[in-house]
Amino acid sequence: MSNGEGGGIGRFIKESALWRSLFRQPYPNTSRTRALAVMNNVFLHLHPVRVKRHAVRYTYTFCLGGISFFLFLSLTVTGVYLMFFYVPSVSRAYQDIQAIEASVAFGTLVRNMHRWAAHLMVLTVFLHMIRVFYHGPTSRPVSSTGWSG
Amino acid sequence: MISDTAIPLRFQTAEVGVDWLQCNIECQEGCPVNTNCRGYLMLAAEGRFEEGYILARDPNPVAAICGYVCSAPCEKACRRADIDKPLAIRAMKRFLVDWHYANNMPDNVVVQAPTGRNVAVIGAGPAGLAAAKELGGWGHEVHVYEALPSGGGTTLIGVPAFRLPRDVIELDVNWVAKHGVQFHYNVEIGRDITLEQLREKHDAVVVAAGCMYPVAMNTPGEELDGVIYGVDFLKRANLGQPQPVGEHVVIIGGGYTAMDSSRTALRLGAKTSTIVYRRGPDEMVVDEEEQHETRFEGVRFEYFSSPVEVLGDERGKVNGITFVRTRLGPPDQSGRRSAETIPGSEYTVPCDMVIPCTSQASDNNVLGEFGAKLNRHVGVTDTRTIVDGGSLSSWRTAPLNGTTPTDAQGNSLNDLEFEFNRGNVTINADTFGTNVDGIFAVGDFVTGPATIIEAAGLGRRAARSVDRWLAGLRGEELEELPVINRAVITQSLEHDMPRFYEATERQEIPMAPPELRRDFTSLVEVGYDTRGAITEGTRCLQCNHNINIDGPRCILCGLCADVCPEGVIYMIDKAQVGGDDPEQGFFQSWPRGIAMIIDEERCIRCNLCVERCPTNCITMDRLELERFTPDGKVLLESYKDNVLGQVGQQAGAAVDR
Repeated sequence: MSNGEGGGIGRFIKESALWRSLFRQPYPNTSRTRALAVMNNVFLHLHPVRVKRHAVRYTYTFCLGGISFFLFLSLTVTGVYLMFFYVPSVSRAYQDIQAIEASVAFGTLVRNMHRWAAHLMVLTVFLHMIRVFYHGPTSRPVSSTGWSG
Repeated sequence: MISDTAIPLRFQTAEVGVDWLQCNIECQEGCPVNTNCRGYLMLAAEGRFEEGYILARDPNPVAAICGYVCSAPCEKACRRADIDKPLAIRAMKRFLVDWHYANNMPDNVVVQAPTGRNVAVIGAGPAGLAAAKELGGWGHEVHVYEALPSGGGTTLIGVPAFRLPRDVIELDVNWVAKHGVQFHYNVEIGRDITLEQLREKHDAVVVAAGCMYPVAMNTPGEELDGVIYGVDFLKRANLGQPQPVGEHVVIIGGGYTAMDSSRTALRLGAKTSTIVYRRGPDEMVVDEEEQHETRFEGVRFEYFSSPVEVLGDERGKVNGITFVRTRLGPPDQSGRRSAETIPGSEYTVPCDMVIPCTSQASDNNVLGEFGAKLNRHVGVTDTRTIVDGGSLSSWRTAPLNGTTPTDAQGNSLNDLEFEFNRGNVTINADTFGTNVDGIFAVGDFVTGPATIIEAAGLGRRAARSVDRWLAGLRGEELEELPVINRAVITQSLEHDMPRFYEATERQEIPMAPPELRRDFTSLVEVGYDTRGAITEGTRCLQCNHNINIDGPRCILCGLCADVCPEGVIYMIDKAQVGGDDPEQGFFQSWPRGIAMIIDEERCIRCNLCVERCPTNCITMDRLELERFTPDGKVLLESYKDNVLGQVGQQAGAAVDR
């Protein structure tokens, strides 16, 4: 049944002390029980129970900040890996690049990831700054968000 | 930056006082007798049916009748309608009343010591019964005079037995009789005894004679054999007198009388029954459930048609009726849209019986010759002499207008003169007094056709006024009713609601299948069983509880607004809030600020905001109120469920936390 009541054995299990201590609230199928589920969950309670519908729309941010951050992370990871094989000096740079392409494990892949992430990040950060500028979050009370990016 | 001056004022602050908290209990405020419906719903949810019955019965002398056929203004006011559907408050009352009488529970009758005053009440309908019960309970000697052979008034002759069993009416009459009220049946005022004679015998007279007399349709052919007015038709059928029906019946009108007449005609043997109404289904007075039941039984509906002429054959019998099509025009004074006829759209329906249920008027013959001249109805039915009908409407007796009894010298025994307004006697709206000192008028007799519970509510108010008049109050003293509020507001951080209360849907009221409905006395509505009643009771949102934010302790964190599942709490700029209370000046002197808005309309009392608040500044406040006059007459109460239930704010056995 929709309100979680069962007959016979199902009801016996669901009314037992063990079940009720594991599942403290009923199945979240109404707005009240959904709010309870978020509020009483150790992970979910960090989030707001409700957000405005327009705030979760894709076209509000186009995920530009998140994409930039993701690209930055992949730049860092691939960069650290490449640092083991690449010495930025005039005498060694060309040979190191040749070696990464030819003999380092996953070298071609990692180098290409690093290169494309760098190019894309320039683009997404540029678009992200335009987006932020036009939404204008530099006035209070969200100015700290605006300046931090 | 958004400038503050551009934000329009949207909210006015109000003082959170007893009156505001009480007016949030909208079912009780909607009920003309202020029944504590919320209280008995909570008690029913706990399985305390007898306690629930006490709450339903105390303010309402026609509780049993209302359980079956009330128009239920409480359900129209119910705040659960904003969430899903309102509670079935009327059906719940019926269950409680049935429970009480099925288990032979003793009635709790409170009667005060005799005052030595006596009052006559004319009419044993809802208004008369309500006035008689109140006055009898306060120690006055009350005599009720009734023209019919038993009590009930409109509910007896106007509501058919398949909707309201006759023994249910008897329960209410007996309950009133237990308050020391004496009933005199088959006494017609203005014929057997005059009002002036009654006034000499009694200290005060309350006229609650109802308005069950038909007003002429003003259509050519209405004198033909086969035209019978709906109220007369129902009266005769309900009193068990022989009433032949035609094969094809046409009913004109869109009120409760039309619905009842059409269903009665089918049960008496008519092959087809058609209701013709000049407006559309949405403009009908009758609610949707009633329309559905009527249609379900096979009654046909024809909308947007107005009668032009009743057609007859050479023997003077009806053989058809001509209608003209209408369309909706602009709203009239009553706010309903008027019906404009469309010329040239006439059509004829063959039929052999026409039942007009268009309008009803009071019989002012009760008030004497002077009033009888102003009667708007076509004539009074003689209920004592049964005329066997060879024809369909031959039994209608001549109008009894102006037949005031005379003494041996031929002098009229009633020389009282009243003020009238459009065929109804004029009364003072506060005191219910007519221009003749000591004679009060109330109910449908004054207002025209209304509902049972409205009439009972007026009867109750009139009794209060009569009681104060008997105590010697006159003039302004009588008009102004002093009121004392005794209120307790309990603040709590704990509040539990019954299990699944917000997910449970409105329980269907069990109805009899159509094949069991052909009998005139077989009940259509079966009513709730115990499980259905308890389940429906748990749906109540307990509007005597309100959340309250303690301003000085609030840190404006917004967690309550975040957690509220119904969006009841939200924060707005202070520029949108105005008001004239002293705290507003201080608040408005701030350069900027936030106001917390509580939209009580949708609160489901889930207590999540109270639990979420980090500073414990939100509490769930429970109101317990008793409102009474200085001489101890209770006007309304919304606390007894807490006393009788003995569990404070928790209803229902299982709690889902």
